[in-house]
Amino acid sequence: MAITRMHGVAFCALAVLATGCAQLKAPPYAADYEALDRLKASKPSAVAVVKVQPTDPNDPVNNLSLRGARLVSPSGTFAKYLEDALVGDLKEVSAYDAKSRTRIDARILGNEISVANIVTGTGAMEVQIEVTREGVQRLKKTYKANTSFESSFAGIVAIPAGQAAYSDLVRTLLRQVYSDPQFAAALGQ
Amino acid sequence: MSFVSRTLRAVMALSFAAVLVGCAHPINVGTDTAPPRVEANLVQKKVAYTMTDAQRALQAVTPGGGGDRISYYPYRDLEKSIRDALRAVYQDVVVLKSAADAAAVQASGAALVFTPEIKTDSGSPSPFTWPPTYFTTEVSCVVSDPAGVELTRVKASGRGEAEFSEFKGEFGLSAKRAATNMSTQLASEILKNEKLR
Repeated sequence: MAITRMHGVAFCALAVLATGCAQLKAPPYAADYEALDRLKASKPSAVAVVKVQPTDPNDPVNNLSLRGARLVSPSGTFAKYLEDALVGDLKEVSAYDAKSRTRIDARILGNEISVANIVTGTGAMEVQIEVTREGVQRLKKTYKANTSFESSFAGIVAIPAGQAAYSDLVRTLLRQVYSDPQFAAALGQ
Repeated sequence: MSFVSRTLRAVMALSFAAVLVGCAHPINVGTDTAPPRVEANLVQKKVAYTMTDAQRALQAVTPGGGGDRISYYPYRDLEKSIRDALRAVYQDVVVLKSAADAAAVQASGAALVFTPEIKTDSGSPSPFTWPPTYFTTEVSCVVSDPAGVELTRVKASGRGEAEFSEFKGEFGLSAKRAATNMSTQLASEILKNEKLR
């Protein structure tokens, strides 16, 4: 009887980890610091970050799933995740001022992590960035990032792989933004 | 159930188990919790730490629970914690590829160069679930001057623990806690070392 109960508990625990019923939290973002240091070296002026769009939690870009398991943002939405990443990075290089008249408007156009393939998982993100100063547009550009990582036919490997890969997708996207001479020029004095 | 059917099911179950035994579950071992940076208390120096893309791409595999293993990228995930520890002590921090590249060190203007080495371990007493319930992170830094001469060494470690009921979709929770502890201790060890003021 005890053994049967133990098997039951084990099976339930395995089921929780193996199937899509759990909500998974995206890992913390960490920047590409080489790109960030290069941006700092370009001496950007202080900039504000406007609320990243779309803020609607029901928008498709704010809803990700990995074989049926929901991937959620620790910031609430993935738009806020990107906004927090941008603000944190700009603070890191002493270029953030919420009251600045130079502002960054960002809109996520695409946001996807897929572990449907049993060999390779993929991430794709597309973001439109607009920089304005005193209401005058200095940059409007769309940036795309594509990442890949090892997947598996087994959900208990593929699902956490997709989860762990999300922060790398955002890092790859923002590395492109920070490494773009046009973006650095738009933030310049 | 026929003998053939039973045998087929047993073979399939064993094959599935065999494949899973060879698997490592990927997790992220980073944290977004940084030691406090108090502008008034910062040492007015620019320092550098080294990290290469090869280190960031280095995958570690250590034990999880239930006989399974976990995989992660310690340098990539813990770079932020090392940088945050340095930023809690020094005014300015940059990353370089190598302490031996004198020209790059000179160009960066860094007064000190920290070269970290990371060691990790993990495990879980659970026979049924794979996420690690404990995780340890150790960072040892050789600190050199701009000419590449070693000045001193600092070491910090952190241990994180997390119960299954706490995971709530964060399978790397014990690692995240270990990273937070390591980062705090690294900042503290640097502050204690007179050669690093």
